[in-house]
Amino acid sequence: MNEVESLVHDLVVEVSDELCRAAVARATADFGHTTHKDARELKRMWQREADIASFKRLHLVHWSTLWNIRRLLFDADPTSEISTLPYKGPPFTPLAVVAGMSAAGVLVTGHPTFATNADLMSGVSFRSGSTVKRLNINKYPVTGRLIPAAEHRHGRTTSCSAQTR
Amino acid sequence: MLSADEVRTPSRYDLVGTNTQDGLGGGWPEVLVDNWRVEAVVVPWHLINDAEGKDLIYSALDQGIPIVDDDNNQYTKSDLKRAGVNVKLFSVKASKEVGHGR
Repeated sequence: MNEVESLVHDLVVEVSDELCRAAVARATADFGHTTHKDARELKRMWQREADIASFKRLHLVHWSTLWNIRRLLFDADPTSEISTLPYKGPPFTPLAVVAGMSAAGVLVTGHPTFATNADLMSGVSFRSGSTVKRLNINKYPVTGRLIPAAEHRHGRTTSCSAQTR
Repeated sequence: MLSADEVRTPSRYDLVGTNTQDGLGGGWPEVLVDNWRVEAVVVPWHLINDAEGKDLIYSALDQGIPIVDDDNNQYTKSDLKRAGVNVKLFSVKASKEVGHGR
């Protein structure tokens, strides 16, 4: 059993139906590029097998750059999933989101939908009509933590998969 | 039944960007959460103390969101002021910069 198969096996203790087995097989083959349909199946399996209450007791921190965390306070969509690192307690060792950039986080509570012992390459979604359009980033010479230009330009629902955890 | 006891606590080794080539990313544990709300903004102590995180801190305080450090110690405006952060500027500047906000 390779690392990915082992991971999926850990996520889904017992795969009982054909649909779920197919989803696991596809996810195992290409875990980093799981389709929406397969993701739904995996989450359904996880919900069935997981002790949700125990996951709610974890301290869940979403890390990103200072600028992105600040943006999140204004523009994140709390009805979309957010990716968090689980801690059983402090200290909340920060995730090095981008080399050379300082990271901050948000401590969140909510409904856990999926958990892995590996990075899912996910992030957070922002609302359309972003407040960011009204922020002039040049007004912040102290931090100078500029987001990638493309992300700033779009200002609509995007997943910051590469830099946001 | 899968329990949170089986979730690894991220180690420093996980968190320094050990991207692999097999699509698994850095190897740090991850939990997806929906219908979430922000309980606190986590600003590592060295950023609070150096005021590098000042823009973020005043945005959070302006929205009534607590600031905690990486040891989960909570900081009030008074605490931050004692640490040398000029919190007086926060509310006014934040509201000017983001319009009325939410």
